[in-house]
Amino acid sequence: MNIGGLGMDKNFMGSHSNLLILSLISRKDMYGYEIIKELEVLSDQSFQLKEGTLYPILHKLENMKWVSSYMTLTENNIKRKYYKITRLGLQQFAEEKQTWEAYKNSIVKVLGGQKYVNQTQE
Amino acid sequence: MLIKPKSEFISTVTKQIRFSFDRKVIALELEDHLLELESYYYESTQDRELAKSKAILEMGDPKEIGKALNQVHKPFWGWVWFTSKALCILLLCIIGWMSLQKVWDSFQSAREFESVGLGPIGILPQEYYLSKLGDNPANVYLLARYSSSEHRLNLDRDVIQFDDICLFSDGTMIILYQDIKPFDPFGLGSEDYPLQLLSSLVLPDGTMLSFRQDWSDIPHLGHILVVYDFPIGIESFSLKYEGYSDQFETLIRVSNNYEKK
Repeated sequence: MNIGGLGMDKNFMGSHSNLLILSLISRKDMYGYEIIKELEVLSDQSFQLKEGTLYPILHKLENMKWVSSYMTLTENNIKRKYYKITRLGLQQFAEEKQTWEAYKNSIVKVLGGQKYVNQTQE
Repeated sequence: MLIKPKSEFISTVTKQIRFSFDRKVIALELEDHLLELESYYYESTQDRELAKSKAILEMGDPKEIGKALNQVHKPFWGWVWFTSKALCILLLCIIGWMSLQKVWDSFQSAREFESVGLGPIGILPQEYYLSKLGDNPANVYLLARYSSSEHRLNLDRDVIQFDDICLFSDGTMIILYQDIKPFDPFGLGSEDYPLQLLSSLVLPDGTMLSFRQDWSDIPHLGHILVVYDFPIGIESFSLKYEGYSDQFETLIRVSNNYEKK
């Protein structure tokens, strides 16, 4: 995971790649290239996921039964592998999202105090 | 920088994956990804070759990608999955084969009955029995045929069906019967209920006659019970069975008397 422009450490977001990918797939079934592009668009080019990182993560999620996959034929008769979130994946997504929210609030509290947290929640 | 063609790129990636059965799907997925990238770059460059090169460059080092994928596609669990799948298919094939054999056996049985001019439930020509009787079968003839009051009997888990009961002039009585077993391809619950050992004939005066095992069963046709020195002229008698959990007694009467040769 490269964080363009923000100068963040790779490891910072690397640990949250599951959360981001599960979040995208939870909205609709997606294929690899689509996930990369969608992530770029939604993050204003901040998150650029390399192919060499994405596919091992996707296949790992599949092994964990958090996502399942199926093949379809495109209009150009090319076989395409789609990923679909499973019920187990949705549970995992909810847990990781909760952890992330708690983590984010803690950071915000440290940076701006309780007053800042209240402001952001409003 | 020398750019590897698409096929070489994909092959370099998949070669790093030790569990070879997953290579094909991974190759398809990477090919689709490369084509998408190619289209993306072609839109901006309008140069097909340049777009291909850019797409492959964008993908990164194929060896590194392959190694990362190999970490996820563990051969051990891959083989466990593959072996269980293969075993399931093998088991299904065995069950299918055994079921087919059962059907084929029944079919053969029916054909053999028909080949001797009788229906699937019927009697055998007396020549068959005569060919197996005594040292001088020429002097022996069929005296009478009997029939059981109950054609079929439930016996423990099996069904016994009496097909033919013949008395010959030398006092030999033959009872041809079928032992119809419930469907049990592995023979787990299958037990034999030897009528020869567990049953006997009871004459009207109370005399009990035991069966002999001199005759072998007829393949596909049935089992044979043999009694020697059966008294001539008996109109009815009973067959008494005392098995492991069941017992029965069925009445057997003359159905046909034949004239002396």
